[in-house]
Amino acid sequence: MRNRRYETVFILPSDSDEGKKKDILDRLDGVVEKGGGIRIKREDWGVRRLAYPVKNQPKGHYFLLDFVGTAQIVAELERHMRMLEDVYRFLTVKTDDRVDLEAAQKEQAEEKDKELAKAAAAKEAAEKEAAAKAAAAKEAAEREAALPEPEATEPEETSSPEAEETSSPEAEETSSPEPEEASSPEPDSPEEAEEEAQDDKKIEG
Amino acid sequence: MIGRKEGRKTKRKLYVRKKVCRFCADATLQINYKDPRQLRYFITERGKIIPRRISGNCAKHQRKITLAVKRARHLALMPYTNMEI
Repeated sequence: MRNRRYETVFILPSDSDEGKKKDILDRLDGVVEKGGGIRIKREDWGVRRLAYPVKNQPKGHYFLLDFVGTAQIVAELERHMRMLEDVYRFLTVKTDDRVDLEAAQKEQAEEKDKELAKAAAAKEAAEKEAAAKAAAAKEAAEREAALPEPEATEPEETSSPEAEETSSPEAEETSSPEPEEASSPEPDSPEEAEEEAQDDKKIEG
Repeated sequence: MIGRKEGRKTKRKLYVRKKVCRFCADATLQINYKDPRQLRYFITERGKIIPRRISGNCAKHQRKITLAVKRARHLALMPYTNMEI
């Protein structure tokens, strides 16, 4: 069986809880791995507005799964997604017909490192935020404690480290937007417009 | 571009501006079904795919655009239709 590279885009509900989403994502990863494929990466596009309601939902959480595998894996993956009620839509597209398995493995390792780094960074940021919050709460408590003092001077505004943004004039764009060759989809001549209108009528009528 | 309408058009004021396929002119442009912002240019306000004779695409790239729009529609990235207009 020949290995090819595929990518699958699928939509999960935007309102379901994280654990449920993770279950589905892990399950799909498992399908790829069990079939002997290489799961290269997963992209999280976030919650997006759907162009039209699907299952009466206006929004969906988009994911993209990039993997290398055989046609059997694709069939199995799609079978799973069909069974899962929470997968609104899915689309698998072949992105490469010939793959170098070693290169794919290397890429997978790289992506894994990236993902781990990202997770660590997110964790650190969350910790920092939590620490800042705790500090703020402590400060507020202290201020409250200091308040009952008679005729106390106004508690000094705690100077928060606000990053002063200085706009750098060096970063000015050198390339002025050139007037693009107007090849607009607008009909050029009234005749064409008329034709278009007629075509439209034909289609709709 | 001129083709079948030439005979009729020459009698009147001939005005055919040569349209160039933007994807042939700029090889770095990629047609991608995951980018609805780019594809929006090739559909009407109602959501219909704009014909080649108006958009100026070459046959090869029009096929790709069509495929990309249809994929994007399936994924609800683009509308099948918009009845509000």
